[in-house]
Amino acid sequence: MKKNFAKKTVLGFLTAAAVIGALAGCAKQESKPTEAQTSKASEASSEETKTAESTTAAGENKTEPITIYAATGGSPKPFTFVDKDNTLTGHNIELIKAIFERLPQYKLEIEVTDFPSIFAGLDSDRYQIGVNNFAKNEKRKEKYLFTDPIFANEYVAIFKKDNAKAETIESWDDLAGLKTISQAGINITTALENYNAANPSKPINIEYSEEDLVLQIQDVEAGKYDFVLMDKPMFEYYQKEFNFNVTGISLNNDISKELMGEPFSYLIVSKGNEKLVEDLNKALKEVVEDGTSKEINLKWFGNDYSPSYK
Amino acid sequence: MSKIFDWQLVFTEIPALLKYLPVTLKLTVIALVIGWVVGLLIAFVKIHNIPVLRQICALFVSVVRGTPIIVQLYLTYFGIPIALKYYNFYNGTEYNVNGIPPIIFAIVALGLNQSAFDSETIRAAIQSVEKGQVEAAKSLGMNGFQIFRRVLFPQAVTVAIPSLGNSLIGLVKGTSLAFTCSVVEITAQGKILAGSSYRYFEIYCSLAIIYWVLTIFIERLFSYIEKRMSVPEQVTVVKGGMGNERN
Repeated sequence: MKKNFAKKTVLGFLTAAAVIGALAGCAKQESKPTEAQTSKASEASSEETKTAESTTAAGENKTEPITIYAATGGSPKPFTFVDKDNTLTGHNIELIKAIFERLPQYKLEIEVTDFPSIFAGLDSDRYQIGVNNFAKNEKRKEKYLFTDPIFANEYVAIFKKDNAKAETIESWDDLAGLKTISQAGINITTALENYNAANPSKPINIEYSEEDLVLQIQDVEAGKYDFVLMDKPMFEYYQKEFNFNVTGISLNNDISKELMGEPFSYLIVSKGNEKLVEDLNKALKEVVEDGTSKEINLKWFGNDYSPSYK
Repeated sequence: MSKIFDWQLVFTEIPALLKYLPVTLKLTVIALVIGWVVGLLIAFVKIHNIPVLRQICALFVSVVRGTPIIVQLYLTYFGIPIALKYYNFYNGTEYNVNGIPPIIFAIVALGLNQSAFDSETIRAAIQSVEKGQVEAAKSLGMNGFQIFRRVLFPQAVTVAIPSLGNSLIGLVKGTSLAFTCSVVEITAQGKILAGSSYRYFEIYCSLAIIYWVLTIFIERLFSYIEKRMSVPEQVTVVKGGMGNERN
């Protein structure tokens, strides 16, 4: 019996060693031919990342465009969605395509993924750009790079039609103390959180949920929540489709600007791609100034929400 | 007020979703095979109580069973690129994780998850066979593989089939989370369709129908296999008597 145990122990150790050895062996083989590159990399400024390096390299050598991976959640319409022919489209998508048309040194690949995966993908540099009508806040600013604004947002607070509370709402301050529902991570929630951070004494009650917007509006209709906040152009699309028994109140934009700093949407870029942001901003400015952005806005919203760079 | 619930859409959207059924099936079948093979290996390590490997397997099973599958998908899909980023940084290499198709990550994560659950089922099934039978087989001069093939396997399978079927059904539904890895299967396609029509509720109803029908097929298949494989109570006497390995 003892002998058997000893035999097994040896077998176990050997197998484990073989597996680990095999893995280590692979690792070594992989690293061998790259020693030269290592020294090259250390000669360059150590803080520069891989992508930044390859970006400059491609700047000199224009024949090979670098592939940039952008991620979108494929929702909400009309910012980003997949149409009946199974192609990705929408305001944000057309805009980013227009931007990349002016950047021949890059090749754009857009992937559709689950919304929270966009952030995880940016963290791991699997994706370099997030395009989903993103708003800005302090925490995000620490983690990601932002381009210049791509879209000047306007928010509407949606109330039940005969709600007495709705009559007095003009600005963000009037929303204090009311109950709302929102999805974690989206631009509206960011706006609400920014407001609460600035006004800790009279916050808006936010309840977080993955609930679909249709259900959220229905909950407002049913009186479960006082209001939901939505992008104005999106609300118009929803009303066209469902015709809810609600009213949307445009929040005074000057006040929201003052309170929240920037009611804009942006492209977000993963850290270490400063050169890419620079290029994007340059092209974005062109897109806004030559009227391409206005054209795209008119097409999707019938109204121009382009940010102005004056 | 226009239609809040458009029940016709529940059925008209099904064909559009079914276009992505092959992706769901591909995820399921490959993950299933990985699950069974790796699960069998883990079961063997546990039964034969092989030191070191046994502890590694126990840790693996404990971690995998103790974490939600959506977390595991995140860890593989986004953890591996982070690890690679560090590896590239310290070794000066330029491996690009985007070269590997996302579906591989989903399959590996689902397969390993499946293996952890199935290993316990397989272990229990193999151990349910009486030791006396193994000893009898040994005394007849069979070697390890022969004992497994002729004595253990036919009996263990009968015990394992219902539980394996159960975990397969779990796996089918687990594939609905593959969208976290950018794999577009039927649930992901549902979310995408709803993203442009805003009809989330209707789409989820269609998805419920598809998954349910799929599960009914699997249930039927497994009850059929179970009947075929079951060891009859009364052993039929076959001409030539000995050497018949089925009964």
